[in-house]
Amino acid sequence: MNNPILKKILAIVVGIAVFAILVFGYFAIFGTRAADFEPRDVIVSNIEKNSVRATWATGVDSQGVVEYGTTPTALNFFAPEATKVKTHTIDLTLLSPNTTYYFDIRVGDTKYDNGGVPWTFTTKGAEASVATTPTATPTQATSQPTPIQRLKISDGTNCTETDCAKIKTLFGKGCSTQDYFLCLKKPTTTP
Amino acid sequence: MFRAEAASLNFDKSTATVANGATFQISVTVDPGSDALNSTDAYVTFDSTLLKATEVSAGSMFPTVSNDISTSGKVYIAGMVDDPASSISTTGTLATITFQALKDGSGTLSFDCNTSKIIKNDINASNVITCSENGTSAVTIGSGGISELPQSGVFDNVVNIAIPGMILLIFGGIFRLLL
Repeated sequence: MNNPILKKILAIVVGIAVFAILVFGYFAIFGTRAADFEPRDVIVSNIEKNSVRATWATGVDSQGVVEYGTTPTALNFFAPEATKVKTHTIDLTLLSPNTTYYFDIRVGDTKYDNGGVPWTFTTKGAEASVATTPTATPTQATSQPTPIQRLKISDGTNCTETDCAKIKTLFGKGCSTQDYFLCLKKPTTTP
Repeated sequence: MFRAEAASLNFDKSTATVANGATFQISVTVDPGSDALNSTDAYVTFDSTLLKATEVSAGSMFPTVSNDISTSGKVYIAGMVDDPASSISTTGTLATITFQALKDGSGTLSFDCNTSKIIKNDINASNVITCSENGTSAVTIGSGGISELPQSGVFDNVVNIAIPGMILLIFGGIFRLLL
């Protein structure tokens, strides 16, 4: 070990080995992981007759594509993001009214969905509905739809009551104040 | 002062920022426009994962106010005059809703205009609401769902390289002394 050239070569080899271990260990601990690309806090909002807004977040900057369609097995429409971001917002437009849509989110070659099924939403139409606000537990996609949550509060268009006093007790349960005042103001026949 | 001619529903705040778990109040106001009103049905919609309506208190506009908060993501409020021959022609507060913030994030309070109504004092009890004039309110809870501040890419890269470099430098020094 008294050869100075051998000492230098040994030092270089050991240095390279230590450097490789340190870099590998550092990026294994602090570097980007696949889980950082998983969408979380997936929310569908601004639901209108022909459009909705989908938002989600990722741990790192990523560029996703919302794949959507009217059946869970045929997500044939695509809405890509223009840039890489952590807080994602995409407006889905040109939708059909009162229609249930299914969607997943693709990041690169990986498809994320709602625990094995696509997320769903229903556009506004004759029958009101609310958005599902799924919790993101992304896995590989399969083909069963998520149940749609229906409103309990009536839209006030199904009032069949003719007794004005009873209509007043059914506000928000099938009758509206319009029904009540129509009842009060309707012409009465005098014998 | 300009006054809109169309009847519409609005919120008293266009934006609200609240801490996660805290409660806040927002009032629903009715602008009759150029009409005389008998009543109003207001359906307020919101993201039920972000907010929960806990209470509705009557405003001063109508003498009779009722509400329904039993459905998550939706509040129904009805206000009306007691005497069908009377009417209201000035802007007022229909009711005040108390919300509880459930988690960090941001959302929008809006009116479901398919079902909300503003009823004019006429023989047909006409619905005179103008949906395009209705207001919305943007609600931000906590940091708005952003878990960390935006990062500079240059700074991140410098840190990524500098830390292993510093460690390597220390090891190099040690090896230099030993060998």
